[in-house]
Amino acid sequence: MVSRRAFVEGGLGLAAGLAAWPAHATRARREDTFGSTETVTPAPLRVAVVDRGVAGSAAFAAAARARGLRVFEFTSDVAQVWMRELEPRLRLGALEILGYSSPATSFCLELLARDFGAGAAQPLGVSTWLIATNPARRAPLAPLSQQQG
Amino acid sequence: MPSPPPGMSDRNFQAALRELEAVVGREWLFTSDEDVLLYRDGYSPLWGEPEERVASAAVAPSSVEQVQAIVKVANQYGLPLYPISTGRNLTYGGSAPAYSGSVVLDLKRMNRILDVSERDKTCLVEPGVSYFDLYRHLRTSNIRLWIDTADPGWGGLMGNALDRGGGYTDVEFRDHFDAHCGMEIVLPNGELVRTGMGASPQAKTWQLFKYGLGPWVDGIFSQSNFGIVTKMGFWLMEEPEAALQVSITVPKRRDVVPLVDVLHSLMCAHTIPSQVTVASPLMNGSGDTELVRLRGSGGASDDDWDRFAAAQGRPFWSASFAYYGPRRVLDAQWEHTKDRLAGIAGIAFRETASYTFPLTDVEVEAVPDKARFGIPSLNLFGSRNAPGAQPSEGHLDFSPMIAPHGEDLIALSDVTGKIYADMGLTPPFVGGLMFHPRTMICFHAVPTYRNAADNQRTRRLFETLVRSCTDLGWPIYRIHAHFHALGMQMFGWNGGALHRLHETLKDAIDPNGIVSPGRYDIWPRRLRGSRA
Repeated sequence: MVSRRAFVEGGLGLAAGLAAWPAHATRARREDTFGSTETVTPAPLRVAVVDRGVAGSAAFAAAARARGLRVFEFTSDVAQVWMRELEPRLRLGALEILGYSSPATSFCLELLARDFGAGAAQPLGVSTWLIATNPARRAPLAPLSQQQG
Repeated sequence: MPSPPPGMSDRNFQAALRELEAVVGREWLFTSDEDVLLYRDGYSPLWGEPEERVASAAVAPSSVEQVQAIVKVANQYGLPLYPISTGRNLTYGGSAPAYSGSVVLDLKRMNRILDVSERDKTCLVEPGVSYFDLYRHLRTSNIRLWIDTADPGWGGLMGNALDRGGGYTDVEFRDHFDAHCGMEIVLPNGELVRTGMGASPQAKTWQLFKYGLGPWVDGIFSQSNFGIVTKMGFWLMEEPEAALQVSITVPKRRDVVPLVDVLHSLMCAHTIPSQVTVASPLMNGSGDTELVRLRGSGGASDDDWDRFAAAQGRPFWSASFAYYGPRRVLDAQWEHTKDRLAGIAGIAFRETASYTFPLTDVEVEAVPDKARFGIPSLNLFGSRNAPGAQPSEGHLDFSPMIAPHGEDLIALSDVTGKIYADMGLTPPFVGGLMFHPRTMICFHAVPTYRNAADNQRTRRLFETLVRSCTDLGWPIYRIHAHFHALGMQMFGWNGGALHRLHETLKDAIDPNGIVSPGRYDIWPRRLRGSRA
């Protein structure tokens, strides 16, 4: 049972998060060996990760699903979600991860996602953050489709 | 524009970078500040200070041949390289080089699992293979073998083994360097070497027999800078039928002496197979003022402590570990353990978890203590959940090694508690983890910050801890890169003979000093003036 308070907190968290979520960068300026060029890149996949242990998580997850986001839930330890869901998707292409969790999870995912071209986790609200790969960014494990101009 | 390593002209540095780019392609040479800063040690005790160790660039090869070509360029220009596997060695230096200005040789792209033999229970991997990668491969391939993972489990097998990390399962696997079998190494002159049976081209036993023929040299490539390891074999644990996780508590301070003696005896007899953690439910408590006073006194009596424990209603010590095997066997092992410990008044035994394998994904998710069952986890970062905790701040692991004697654990706790109190700091609890079968490592976290004043205090504290504990017979087994020189000083018997031997080897194997100068205080001749 989701309490009214938790529901409101979760819904507000998602609303704040989505409001602050930057628009898709569908074009990324980058250079290749032959000089500057502008390349159209596919819109990144968007998913949400939600820690069931954080107040308001159920409402956040429900609201995220209602907006069409694929939601991966976990309790405290995000490792299984990383292994099964996030890393395989990062190996395929650009990804934006909307998170509702403790700072521990955003810290871990920020460091793990760096190897795929992600920047720092952007706080979007209380317990809400965004980690996004940059298609123009080079990184040791970034998918080849992003790397080749 | 990256700055060249000390003593190298910008012109030569740029020329070297162009040649590296020709080797790996433009995509895999990283020179922008934005990229290079990713290799900064996020837990550095020198964060933002001029002495913080930082890279000048990074290069990410995809093959052994590219590593050899990079080494050739480095020799030509005297360019220092700092190889990393997955670069997660936080608390011991992360992916930042031991010598500022080095080019990080990022081996993450070399991440192939080259072989897994379910029959022989072995694997052969490249440097970039993480615990996550191998665990996922075994699960998705329905191979009933376990990895032994470090905790947190986000690092890689090779990097952790080469820095002599430890894990939690059976004794044969949890000393990660000891669990390796066979290496391939690019030497600093570019030559490729395979150790053990791998040196015999047709041998079918590279991952089965460690020694090969002649001197066994694998050890010189751990905690060192004598080569770039590009493949390593490991022994894997057969998934048991079942596992039983247990916890034991004892009420009084001195109870830890017979408790540890018996547990150690049972480990040596292979009755207890897993790593044993000795902790203190009492001293892990909150910032109770009486607890802080007792911890900082450096010598409160056993009676004082026992009165405090009784008043708190908490046991003084706990021990947790696991059995693996057929259910009837592990039940018998547990009964035997209880019989051996029954003489300690007030002892309590508890079965904390019981599993039958294989586990479903849902069951895996619910395992609270995953590393004991070969499951990589990030749960250790839960401490960052504390209100107001700053995720960007980290810590150093202070990791003195003691004999598995309860008296030493008590004494070390007293000594470290007083050191903290004398500096006006709240002492942390010091527990003991028996990764290795005949010693105990007493980790505790010394916090690092993003401001110089607090970090200066941290460095003073850390150095005091290292020196004081070494004086009492408890040197560290591993240490953050900033303290490599201090660490090696603690191993200075006979005027530093061991360190001189290390540098004699360095001069012979790496005369141009291109691989990880300064790592574990091993400097090439041309940079010995750089010693901290």
